[in-house]
Amino acid sequence: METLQCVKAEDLVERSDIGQHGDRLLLDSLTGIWRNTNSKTRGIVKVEIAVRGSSLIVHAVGAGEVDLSDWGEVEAEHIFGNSISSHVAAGFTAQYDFDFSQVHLQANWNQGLLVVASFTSFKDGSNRSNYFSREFFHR
Amino acid sequence: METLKCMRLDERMEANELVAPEPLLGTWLNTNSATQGVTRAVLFAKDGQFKLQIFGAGHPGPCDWGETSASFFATDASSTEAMAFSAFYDFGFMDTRLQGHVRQGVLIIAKFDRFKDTSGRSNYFSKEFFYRTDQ
Repeated sequence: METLQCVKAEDLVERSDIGQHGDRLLLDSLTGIWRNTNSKTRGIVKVEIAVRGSSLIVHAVGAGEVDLSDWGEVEAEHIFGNSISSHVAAGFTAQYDFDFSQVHLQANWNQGLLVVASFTSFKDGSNRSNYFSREFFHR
Repeated sequence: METLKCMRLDERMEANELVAPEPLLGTWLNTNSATQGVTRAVLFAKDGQFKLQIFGAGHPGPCDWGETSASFFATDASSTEAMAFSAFYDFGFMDTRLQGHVRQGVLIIAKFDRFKDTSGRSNYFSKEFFYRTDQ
C-alpha cells in the first residue's frame, strides 16, 4: 500500500476514503449574498460570492461614512472543504490589494454562517496597526 | 489634517506605537490531548523576527514542522497589542496557511490545508483550540 506523505496524523487516510474528485470541490454551497449579522458593523457589510467557470468570485463591500465602500471583485485564491474527503466547498481564501493596504480574507462556512477573518496590512506609512477582524454573515 | 484612506469605517484611527506581539508569544497546547492535528504551537522572537513552530500529531512522536515567519495583527488599526497572527508552511506535497487569534485566553488556530500531490486528498479547512503553558 502506498504511504501518503503527511505532517499530521489526520492527513494519513486510506486511498479508498478519498473521493475521486481530487481538488475539484462543489462550489454552490458558498454562493449567494452574505450579509453581516451585525447591521451596525464598521467593517465588511456584505460579501457576494458567485461561480464563474471553475472560479469562485468574491465581492466584498465595506461600511462607509456616506455610501458603502465597494471593494470590487477578486477571484478566490484557494477553496477548501471541511474535511480531507469532502467534496463540498466550505471555505476559501482571497486577497484584496489596494494602493494603501492589503487585505487577506480567510472564510469558512459553519452551521449556516459564513465566518470571515480579515488580516489587514497597511502600506501607506500611516501609523495604523495591521489588524485582524472576524465577522459573521448570513445568507 | 490628512484624511486616511480606508475601505471600511474602522480603519480611521491611528496607533501611537508598533504592535507588541508579547500577548501571543509562548507555548500553546491543544485543548484536545488526543488531537490528530496540531498538538503544539510555539511563538517566539528570534533575530529580530517573529517565528512560529508547529508540532503535528504523529506516530510514534510529534512531527516537528520547523520554524516559519509569523505576522502579527492587532485588534484594530489603533491598537498596539497583538491578538492574531498568520503564517504559512510549504512542505512541497502540501502547504498550509495558519491563522490564529486569541479569544478569552484561548488561541484559536484555523488551518487551510492545500494538497499539491496527486493523492486526491481534498484541500480542507479545520480549526483547533489551544491554551498557554509555561513548558
